[in-house]
Amino acid sequence: MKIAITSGKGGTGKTTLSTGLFHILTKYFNYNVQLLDCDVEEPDCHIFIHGQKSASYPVSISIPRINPELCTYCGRCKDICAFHAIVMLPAVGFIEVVEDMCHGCGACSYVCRDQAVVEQNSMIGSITHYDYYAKDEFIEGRMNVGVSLQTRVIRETIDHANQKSLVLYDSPPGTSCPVVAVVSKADYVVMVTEPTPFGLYDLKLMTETVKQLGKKCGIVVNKAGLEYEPLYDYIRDQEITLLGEIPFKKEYARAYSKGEILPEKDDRLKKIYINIIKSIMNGKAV
Amino acid sequence: MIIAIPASDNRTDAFTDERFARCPFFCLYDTDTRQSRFIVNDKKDAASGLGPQVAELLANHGAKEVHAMEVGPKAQMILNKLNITIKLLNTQKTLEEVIKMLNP
Repeated sequence: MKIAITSGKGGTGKTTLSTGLFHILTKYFNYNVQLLDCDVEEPDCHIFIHGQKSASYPVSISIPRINPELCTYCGRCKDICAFHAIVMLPAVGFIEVVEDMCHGCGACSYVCRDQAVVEQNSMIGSITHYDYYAKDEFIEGRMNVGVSLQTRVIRETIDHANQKSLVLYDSPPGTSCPVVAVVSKADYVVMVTEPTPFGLYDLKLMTETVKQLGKKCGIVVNKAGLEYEPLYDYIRDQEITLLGEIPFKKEYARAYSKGEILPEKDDRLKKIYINIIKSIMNGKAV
Repeated sequence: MIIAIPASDNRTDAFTDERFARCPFFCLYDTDTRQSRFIVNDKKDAASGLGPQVAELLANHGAKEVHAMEVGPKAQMILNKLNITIKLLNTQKTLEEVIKMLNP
């Protein structure tokens, strides 16, 4: 089973929840668990999860270079490029790939009849495996600075998930392509929100996204106690399972800022996290 | 020499457009004939990465200089490679005023 931990709004507690659930699952449950940090733009699970590094893999794409000597300026590569990454001026014998815009799909090299397109590997990120306890694993996807192909790095990170394990995906924030890349690979979606107008607004967007993708989902309210009733009205109206509520407390914020695993903070929290897992497993999930 | 200026409308009394690649028209002013004409920027509604395409469009129309308020990094890179000079305008002016500066 694959569980994506998402939120519309950033800063609601995706990583707090993901790392906490991962820790509780490895310690108190009998699953083989993997945590995948899919927030490849700014992965931060490693701040909470201290595993033993076991392997590292590069993520690369094939960037084409066009040889102007062989090119006949037929324009086939330029026409097929969905990302308009090829600039061609036959009059002055100019043809070039704008690297930043290339997605490495290989279409240009496929349609070229003059063998003018040569592909070269370009590193865009890396995937690192860490052992956690004996049987579990934390895998981090990380995109290189200056690269914009987030979904590519996310998809490759997700390919590293073990099909037999219980897998947690720590998703990027928002509801755009990178999030869809994660959610579309999940069996169950946990939406983390907070009782604020922002939290509710972005939760609505997230709910619509998850519904369109036809995924089962539940909600975790973090920072509960901030008193914003419209959030609860919405959860009731939409008939979405409320998996649990994490209270808003200064000590919790302080523990988080020190990189501590939240459910180890006190027994009350531990119980909340365990109940969240049980609700996912027994409820409408599997 | 042909100079390309991003234009907010296709009249010389219109203002220069603050954006380079997303302007609706380009004014092409020929310093030899002192004539100006307008071309439609049909790339302006592309989702992203239109700078290089617009640079290509201007090169196809024979532009040798671009006078704009700002030019994006990808467009700049292609313009440089095509030996098209970029001159930055520091305030928004009408096209007439810009042209007047070119031909005092």
